[in-house]
Amino acid sequence: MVQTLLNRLGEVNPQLFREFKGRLKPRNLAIAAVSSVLAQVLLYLFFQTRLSAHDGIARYCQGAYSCNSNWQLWWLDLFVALSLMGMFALLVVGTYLLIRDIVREERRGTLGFIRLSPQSAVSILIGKMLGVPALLYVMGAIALPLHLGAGLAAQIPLSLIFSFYAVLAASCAFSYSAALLFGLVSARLGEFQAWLGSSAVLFYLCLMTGASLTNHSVFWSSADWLTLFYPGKVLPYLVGETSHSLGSIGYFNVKDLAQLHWYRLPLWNSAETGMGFLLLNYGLWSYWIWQGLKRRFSNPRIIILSKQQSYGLSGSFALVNLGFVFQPSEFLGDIPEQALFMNFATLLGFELLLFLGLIAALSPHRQTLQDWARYRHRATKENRSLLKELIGGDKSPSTVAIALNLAITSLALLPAILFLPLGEYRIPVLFGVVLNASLILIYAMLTQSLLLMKMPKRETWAAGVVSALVLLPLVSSAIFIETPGLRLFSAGAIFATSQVPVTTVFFSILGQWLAIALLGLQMKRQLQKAGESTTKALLSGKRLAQS
Amino acid sequence: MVKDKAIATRALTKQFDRHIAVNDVDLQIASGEVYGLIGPNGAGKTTLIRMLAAAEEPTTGEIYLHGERLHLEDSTSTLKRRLGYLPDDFPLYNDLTVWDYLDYFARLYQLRSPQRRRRLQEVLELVQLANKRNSEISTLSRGMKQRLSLARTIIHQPILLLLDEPVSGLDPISRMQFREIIKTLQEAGMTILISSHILSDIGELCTSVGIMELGYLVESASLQELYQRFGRQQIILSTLGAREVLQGELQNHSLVEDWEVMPDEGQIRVSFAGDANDRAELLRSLVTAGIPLTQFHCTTEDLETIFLTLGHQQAS
Repeated sequence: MVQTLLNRLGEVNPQLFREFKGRLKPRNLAIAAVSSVLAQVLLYLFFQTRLSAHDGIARYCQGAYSCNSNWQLWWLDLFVALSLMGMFALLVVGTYLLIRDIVREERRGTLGFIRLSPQSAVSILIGKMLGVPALLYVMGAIALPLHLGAGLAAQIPLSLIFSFYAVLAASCAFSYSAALLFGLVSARLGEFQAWLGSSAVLFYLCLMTGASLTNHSVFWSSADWLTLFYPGKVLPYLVGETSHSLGSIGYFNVKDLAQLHWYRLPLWNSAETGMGFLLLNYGLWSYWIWQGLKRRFSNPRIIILSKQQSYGLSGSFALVNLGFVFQPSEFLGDIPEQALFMNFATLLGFELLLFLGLIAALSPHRQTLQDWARYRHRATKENRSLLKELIGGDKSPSTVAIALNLAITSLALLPAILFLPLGEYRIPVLFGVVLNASLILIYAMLTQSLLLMKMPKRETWAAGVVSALVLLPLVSSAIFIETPGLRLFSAGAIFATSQVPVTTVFFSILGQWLAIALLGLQMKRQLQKAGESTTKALLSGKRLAQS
Repeated sequence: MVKDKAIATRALTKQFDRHIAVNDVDLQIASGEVYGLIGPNGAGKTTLIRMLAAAEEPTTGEIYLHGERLHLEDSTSTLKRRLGYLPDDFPLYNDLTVWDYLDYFARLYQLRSPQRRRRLQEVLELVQLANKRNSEISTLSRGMKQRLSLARTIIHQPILLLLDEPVSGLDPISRMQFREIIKTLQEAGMTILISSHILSDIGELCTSVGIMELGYLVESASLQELYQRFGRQQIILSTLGAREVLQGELQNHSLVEDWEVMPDEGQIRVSFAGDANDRAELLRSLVTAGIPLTQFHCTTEDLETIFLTLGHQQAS
């Protein structure tokens, strides 16, 4: 029967069939089953010992005169522990397995054959996502009865438990998609990428779990956007449905979560809207990752996102993130203007991270740029102007597209800057946005220039130079704290805008624009040279053939 | 012109930095042909084949397969089903059995059961691996792995087969087996493009040949035409004596271009520009002159000599 089922599955998704064939072997299945059962037994025994332990008595005892075990709380703790274990295992190990698998396939050359088949990228990659962590799913499925049983014994409504599963599934879909993209993009760097990717996920989960367990998971700023990728974000709703007060539970407080607002809307007041927003957030970012996945799977040499897609991505980023700048006044502290200013500063920090990603995703490499410089005239003959090429072409330099993306995010922020009660901070925020955009544009132009140079390991050089440009001014401005002018040339420029005279800010903006103009001229020269040298090489080749 | 060809390229060029790997290649291969691509290492054969297989994006130029334009990113599934590509290295999944491996690729190419089962059996028999169907790939010899790769390439019955150095590194018996399989595929009507360094194989298998040098397709013609145009005839003669008379006769014959006495064997190699009738006429005149001939047979310069001559001409 299993064979027939597998066969039918193989008709629908051959990649899933291949992954199952390679992984679901009796020995592997037995190991997975035993590991899962063993982990559950150990966890169960651990909680059993806590019933009799001294601190356990304090936690699970109820009744004034004799200690009657509070089984509901005990089951709740077990449920939460199992949820966290499952979350960590699925996200960290799953991410590791997927990156390692895709990197291996790419390096071995087998992925090339799959690309040549008529299967779509979506079908292959979904097969990978469902098939590569198959043994993890088996382990999870074996733990499901205990998890469900613990949840029901803790009096958590079944609908909420299934909602948690839905959020966890969405989180896996998002993380696995990101893992596949990371693997495809960095396959040349080897299997170290698998460790790097899964360590990043582990770090994030540890950070978020720590914050949630101590009920400090809301920051009333753009940083809240980051917490939306944590599937444990919904656990407070489940815990909150049980009949315990925060005193006896001590973690995942639903009241903490309810303080989260988006465009001042208390979406996390109810489980439906809170979970719904989380699912939408996962969906939105998974959608953008899949745009890159589809492109990179079909052609490993193409830029990760098309320029048009990048405009949509930065627009969505600005729209979603800006929502967390708007917070109800009761959460903005004694000086709301300053709190709002800090929210914008955080948002600009995330914007910088987004643009570093966009620079990497949109900047074509030397060969592509050389080809573009050489053959662009053919495109223009087909009525495609240079400007259209720079705005939408896959092979043209990224600079204009990055500038457009910066314009989109900055324009999205503008109404908020003008209408929010920023008081004396309005001008510093405006300057901060301009300085941040100029700096990002300088990073983009430098990256593109470095990628166009003829030297080994261009990507490493570009990454190193941009990292140094981001970090060194930040470090030096932290050391020379008395000279805030230094900070104007760092990623934290917004903080300096309120500390130095307007003329200084003005001149630093002019200085950055001058640097942009010079870098633009330099790139133009580089591209002209690349185009010319190619022509010469081709002509000399022709002469060779004719002689 | 392009539409009636199985493969056609227009000004196909691939450049890596300053190195032009494939330069302005106009290739045309008719349906049903077995086309041999020969050239030294670095001539651009592999890059050309990779571009034809949609595994590499051309810098410029166009590729048409049966009249349909090929694009790397948005090749239609029909176009992909038409193509079978065997690269010079052949990565496999060592954790799968021979059957499961082929079954996986058959599914990727959307072959449905029970037709898929039949096709798998057919292909395994063709590549002589039917008795290894349940063996793990890791246990196969190099020759078997290469035949399995070929089986994977033809599992979906492509009409265009691109084989890049398919017999390199194989022992003589495996090479022979491989040649036989290619002949069977040719008889089945496939158009085959095959690149190889082993020119005797190309000479035996192919109907047309293209010679690549420094990224250029310096010659592309049917094998027959190539021999006619570039393969000089040689007549090998041996006599029991009367060498002077023989040499005098050769000197007076208008179609004899040159001759050479082989020091060890005592044979004379004559470069001859005539056809079969002219050769008969030469033989008659030598016999009439009373030369005691013990050997008179005709050979043509082989592909290797033609390739070396043409390749070097272009390179110089």
